Amino acid sequence: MSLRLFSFAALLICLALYLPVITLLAPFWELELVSSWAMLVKATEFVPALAGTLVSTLGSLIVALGLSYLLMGSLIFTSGYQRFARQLPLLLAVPHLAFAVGIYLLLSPKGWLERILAPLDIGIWVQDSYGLSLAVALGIKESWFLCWMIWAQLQQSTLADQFLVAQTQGYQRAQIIRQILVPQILPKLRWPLLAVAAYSLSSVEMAWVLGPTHPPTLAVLAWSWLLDPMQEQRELGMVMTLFLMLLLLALALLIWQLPILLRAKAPSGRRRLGRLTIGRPARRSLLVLHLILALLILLWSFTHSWFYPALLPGRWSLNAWQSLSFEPLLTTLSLGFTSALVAIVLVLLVLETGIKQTGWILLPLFLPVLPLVVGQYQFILALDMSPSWVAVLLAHLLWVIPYVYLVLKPAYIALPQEQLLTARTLGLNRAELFTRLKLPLLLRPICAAFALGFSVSLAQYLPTIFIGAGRVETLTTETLSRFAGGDKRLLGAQTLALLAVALIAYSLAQRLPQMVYANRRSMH
Amino acid sequence: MLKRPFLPALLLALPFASMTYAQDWSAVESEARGQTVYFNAWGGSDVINSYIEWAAERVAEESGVQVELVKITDAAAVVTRISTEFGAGNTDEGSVDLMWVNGENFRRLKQEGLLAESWAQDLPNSELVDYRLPVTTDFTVPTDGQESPWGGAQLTLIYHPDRLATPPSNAQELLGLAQDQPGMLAYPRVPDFHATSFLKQLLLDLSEEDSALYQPVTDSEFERVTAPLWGYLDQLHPLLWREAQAFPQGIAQMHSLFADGELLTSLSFNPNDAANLVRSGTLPEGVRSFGFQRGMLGNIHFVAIPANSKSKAGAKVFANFLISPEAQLRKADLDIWGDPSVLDPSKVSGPSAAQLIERDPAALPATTPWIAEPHASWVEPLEKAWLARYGAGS
Repeated sequence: MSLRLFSFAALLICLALYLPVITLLAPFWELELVSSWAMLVKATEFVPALAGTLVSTLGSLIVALGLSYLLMGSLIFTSGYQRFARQLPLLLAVPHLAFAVGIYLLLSPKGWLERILAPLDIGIWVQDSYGLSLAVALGIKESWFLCWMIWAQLQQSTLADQFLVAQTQGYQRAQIIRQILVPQILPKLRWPLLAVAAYSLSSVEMAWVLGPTHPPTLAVLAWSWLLDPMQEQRELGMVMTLFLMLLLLALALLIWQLPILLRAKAPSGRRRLGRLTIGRPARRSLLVLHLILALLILLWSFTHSWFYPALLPGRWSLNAWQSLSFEPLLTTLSLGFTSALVAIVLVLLVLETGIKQTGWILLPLFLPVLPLVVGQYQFILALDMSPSWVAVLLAHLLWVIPYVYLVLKPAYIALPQEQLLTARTLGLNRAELFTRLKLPLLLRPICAAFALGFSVSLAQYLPTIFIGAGRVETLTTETLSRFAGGDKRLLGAQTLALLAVALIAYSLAQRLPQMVYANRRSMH
Repeated sequence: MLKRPFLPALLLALPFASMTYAQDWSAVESEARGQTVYFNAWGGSDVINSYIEWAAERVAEESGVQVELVKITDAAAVVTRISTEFGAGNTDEGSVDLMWVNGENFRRLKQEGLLAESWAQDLPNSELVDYRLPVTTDFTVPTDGQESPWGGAQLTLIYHPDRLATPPSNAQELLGLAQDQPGMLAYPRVPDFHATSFLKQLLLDLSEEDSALYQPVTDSEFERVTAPLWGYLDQLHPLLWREAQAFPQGIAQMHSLFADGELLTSLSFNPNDAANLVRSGTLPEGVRSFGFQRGMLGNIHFVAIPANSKSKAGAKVFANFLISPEAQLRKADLDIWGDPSVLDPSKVSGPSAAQLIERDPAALPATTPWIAEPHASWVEPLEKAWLARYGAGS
């Protein structure tokens, strides 16, 4: 049975790729923890950086959770609900970094919003020292993910029916959300919330663009310490990554308690009149916000000079576009394409082993990125591997595989068992069953997994820059180095390229099943 | 037995040292052909990146050396990488073949023995270098031929005469300006390279170039010399942009804030920068540059080869090209980069000599006195003390 052989080989490959997860703590054995801890706590930046990190992480969780509940709760059973559900994947496909750059262009000092509001003399700024702007931006961006998760829950459960019943009994939306949606969905949102927390906590790219600067968040601080030429500073960086993991553990405990903390009192039967009208206007304004951000990025990319208080560029130019190089685009495409494809093959083969305990594949989603990257780097060093495209590909797979698994696992389980059984009785062997029945049936989830895998690879910053030693340039690393370079015109062009690739790849993957099965509607 | 015939040959060769020198170089050149050189350089400026790409193309045509620019955001991180590679036993297949470096990073590389042995003075074009410039010491640390000069730099303040009639001529006047117009001045956050340089500039100005700054640092001298600086910054910080609760992330952001009228001055380490930035549309027309009366901090930036590079010959060939009149002239061109040359105009023939020292009206006046960098050992305690005092915000 060659398929069996292949699938167990795939399992071994996955395990090998996941070694950095297992050896996560290895580098810490070499440190003198007690004295390093003392030094960490004594570092002047530590306490304010911790405050900024807590504000931005907890704030983003609150904003994301609140926004997604309000949106979904007030849209369900309205005409906008299905439309919104269809828009969600596209909003999800917007790279975090592109969103952050857009917000930066809008809200930086003397930025576009300040120019519009100039007569009012209001200053709303990114990079505020409390981490509030970072919290709100992360919260909005992550709310699409949570909306999507809630939507998936609503599809599966009988919640929609309960909602209808409560509505016919005269309860208003606000009360139904509080009494029905929150208590039932929240427990199922724990893992997605933990993923949001892990991202917010350890995101370097968004924190760099929008976070506090003096001092920056813990993740940015840890990152710069890890790169410090001084050995003791690097050790401090290591201790900081350990601290980030402890912080995430604390957040996980908090998230697990959330359903209990937010438990509503049993309904007294009283109908409260508080009407919730956030639905359509909120949805519209959030969509308009995205359009404004995209427009600002576009405008800057064609600018020669554009100074305060002008609302439009003073002089236009194509220079920024001419200075873009093709190589990062090609690297991004090749990395995204290959890693998504490899991940899909590996995950399908691992599922094919029939082993039930495969949940560990999701682990990297719930761990801070920084220590994982450090672990990967130790491996690359130990293997004497030079920084290259292949090394970066292997690094990306650690995050691409779990996302692909997230999409493929439920679809694989939901395969129509009767059909498979019929096919077997008709004499198909395992390999034929896999290639002739399962793969075609899974085309739609495979395409969705591909789109997700591609966009995950596209978004990787830390693994690309750390494992690739800067030699492997992608649209994401280029965008961030343009940000550091401070030229908003180049930043605009680069960000637009990033955004365009993300959206185009996404819509292509969405269309593929329709093209392949043009004459079979239910396969779309 | 075999060794014997070599001895007379060596003796014979001695008087013709320059000949062997040329032969040595052609050996380097032939070894270099076909090598790939990973040149790690700060990649934050598009102007510089395209200049390096041009140099890479030229050297590929001329010498068959493939140069790959690795854009980095912080040279200190490259030092870390090289050191980590050595620590992991990688002594001949490093990921860096040539790097753009000076000051503290060079001192660290040299101290830890991570650099290729003396080579810079053997480059044929090193004869054209202007040795009146401080090209053989780097922040008072002798280069010992372990790095080759690439360009000159001088700390420069940028302003717009329409918004600031008389720029301050020393640190005290700068403080006075901040008192008159609070919230309109800034400098990047330490340990940004420009921020540290700005601190050194203030320190040199306030201490009237105390001679202790040119010796290795000691605790007591540090206390004594820096005391006026902390007193000064304690006064200055509440008057800075956003009351020093936030700092610009780098000079690029400072330029943008300055261009939008959020700041009165910007900062650069390239005396020609203002001229370049106007041409590229980053800064508005009419900006000018100024320095303090006593002078402004100046230094040379270099390229160095890590000891574990596997393309040392290729790296030398590229370093040699970088100090050729062709490359230096193009580098000094305001439309290209505008980085000051390290060549001696009297050793370069033709009309190009004049172009090497040309200055634009927007640039820092060439008459601005040059203040040498303090001893490199001052940087680290200076940054640490700053972070300990101001690192937490408030």
